[in-house]
Amino acid sequence: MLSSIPEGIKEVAYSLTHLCYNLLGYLPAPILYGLVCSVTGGTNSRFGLVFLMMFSLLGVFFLFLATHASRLSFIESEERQAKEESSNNVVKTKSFDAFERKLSEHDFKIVRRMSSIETSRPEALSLFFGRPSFIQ
Amino acid sequence: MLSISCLFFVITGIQFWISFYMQSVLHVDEKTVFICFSIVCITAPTLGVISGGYLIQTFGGYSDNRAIELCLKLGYCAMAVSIPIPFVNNLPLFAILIWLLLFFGGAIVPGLTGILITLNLIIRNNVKFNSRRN
Repeated sequence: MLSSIPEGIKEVAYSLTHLCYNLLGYLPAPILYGLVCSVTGGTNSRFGLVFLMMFSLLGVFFLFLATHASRLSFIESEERQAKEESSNNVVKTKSFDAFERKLSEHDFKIVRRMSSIETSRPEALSLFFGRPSFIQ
Repeated sequence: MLSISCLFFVITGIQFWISFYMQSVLHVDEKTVFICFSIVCITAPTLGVISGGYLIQTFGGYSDNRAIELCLKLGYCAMAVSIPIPFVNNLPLFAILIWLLLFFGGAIVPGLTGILITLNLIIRNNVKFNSRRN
């Protein structure tokens, strides 16, 4: 994700990421643990640790959201590719049909021309294709 | 990024307060706490990071779609281990659970960091699609 950021603002993005790590991760943990302990009964309180462990559930929840989003976008991109491929196949078949039609018309013209030559001057073709059977 | 921040939050909180917690709540003497804390805090994250990196590499690297799913599974393991920790009174069990929590937390770090700093499959697919369209 960070490597997809344009070159000019990549440094800012990296520094902002580390700032977020520090502000959301490293900095508040000791302070909030102490605050929760002091609110819920002092040094013997277990609620500080309960509070910390709740954040592991929150982290897994964010990770679950990220995985779900990744799956969704993967399925979307696969559907797009499938649609694109199917539309390409339609275009290919259409162009192939047109080519075949042209070819058959062209072949038909050749056959017609050859047959007209053969009927008018059958001996001319015998130089290339041998003597026709109907020429005695 | 929020997942990594939560992970750092938990790990920092544990590393900062766990020795005090063991002394005041579990009533363990200072020497045992020092030895136990040193062993757990040195070995667990180190082994976790190494094995997490190896696992990610085995599953096809950061750009593979399975990398984030592997991180999620490791996160489930960490979550399962972290739930009983505040309710345990036995020191060896407490140390083992903390070790496992730090291990799984460390194993998540290389995968999530790699996914964050590299191009993942989603963006690559979108870029491919857009380049084909254009």
